[in-house]
Amino acid sequence: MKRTGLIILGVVALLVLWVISARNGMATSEIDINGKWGQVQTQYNRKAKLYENIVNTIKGAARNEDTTLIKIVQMRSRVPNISPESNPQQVAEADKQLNSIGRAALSINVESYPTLQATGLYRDLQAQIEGTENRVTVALGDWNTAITNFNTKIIRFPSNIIAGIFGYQQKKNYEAAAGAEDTKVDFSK
Amino acid sequence: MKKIACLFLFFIICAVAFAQSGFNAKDLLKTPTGTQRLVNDYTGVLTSDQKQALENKLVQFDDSTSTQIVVVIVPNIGDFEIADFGVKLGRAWGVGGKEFSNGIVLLISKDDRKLNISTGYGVEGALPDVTCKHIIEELIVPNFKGNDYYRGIEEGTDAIIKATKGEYKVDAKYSKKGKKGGIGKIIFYIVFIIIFMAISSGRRGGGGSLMSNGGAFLLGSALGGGGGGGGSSSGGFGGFGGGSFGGGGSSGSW
Repeated sequence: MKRTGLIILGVVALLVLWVISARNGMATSEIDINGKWGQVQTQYNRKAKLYENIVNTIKGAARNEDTTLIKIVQMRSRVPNISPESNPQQVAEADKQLNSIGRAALSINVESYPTLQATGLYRDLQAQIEGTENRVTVALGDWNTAITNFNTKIIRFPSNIIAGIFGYQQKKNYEAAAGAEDTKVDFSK
Repeated sequence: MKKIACLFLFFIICAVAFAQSGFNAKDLLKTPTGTQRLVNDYTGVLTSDQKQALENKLVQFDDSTSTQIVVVIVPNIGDFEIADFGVKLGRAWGVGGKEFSNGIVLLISKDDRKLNISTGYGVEGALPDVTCKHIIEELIVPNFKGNDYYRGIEEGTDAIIKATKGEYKVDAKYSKKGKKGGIGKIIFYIVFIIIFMAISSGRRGGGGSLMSNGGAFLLGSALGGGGGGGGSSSGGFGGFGGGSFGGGGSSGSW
């Protein structure tokens, strides 16, 4: 009798420990998602600032009547601001707008911008656009992986029971905005 | 009977040939097995002397600054994009120290004629994307175009070293701290167990010398990160430190 009592006590203790560790694992995963999201925003802001500079550089080097430049300046005014509270859709939308600026900037005819051409500035801009695109891509990828990890944790049996008790819900993965795939700039050409 | 033997031999030859020809870029992304060096040539474009010269230079730079530059030459990178693969490789191997993420991957995909410099988080400041681009376009690509891989890598790594030289200083603990990779940890435990056993056996047998000699020898090789035996622990590459990458760097082609 005493022995069964001990066994039950042991099982209960193990169960409680398991609940605690499962619950903590989920909490850690959720915090991880937030951290990765912070990284996305950091990289996005970096990109936005860089593109601002690019627009200014081209503006400085360009003849005013150039239509590409007018187009780029117009595009810039359409880029939405993002804040820490912005949801993924807003960020994706803003990112898309930025990408179109980058594309337009890269498609300008360098011949008509002697200043850009002479200083090798244009090539540097290309390198920076490439680098910033890569950073945003990596940050988004990491964030997505963090979400997937979290979702896997709360959907698998038996930890899904714990997720249900503590009210954890599946989070939506990031989906690239339509047209995002053609932002990839091939520099090897 | 002879037929079966022939067939068997044929299969073995096939298997060996397949194993040798099948380079799979994905396999590189598995966690380090400890066989990686700072210069990894999977194509054979470098002679062993050239490899050694580069390796020595990079090991020396790693030892004096803790910044790790890894050169990886592969025949192809499968379906990956070169910049993406550079980041993945740097992360998978853990190039650079964990604390500073001061690792740099110079990735060369020979058949695609593409190359990439990926910078860890900690060297993005010292080695901005534009600098990477300049190094690629002005130093490496011209040499690669003339099929002089060694000179391209030599000049490229020199430029990377020049750019990152003052960024990090090595602290006294580096030889221990920076080299606690997966293998280092295992070795550490093994050493611990052996020392423990040596102590207990020493007590029984009264042979204190076993503990001092064996312990010191194994400790020496553990600090060397399993790069070589205890005797040669001074010169070798000590292993990667677990640095991370965020997409910084630049790519090019020749």
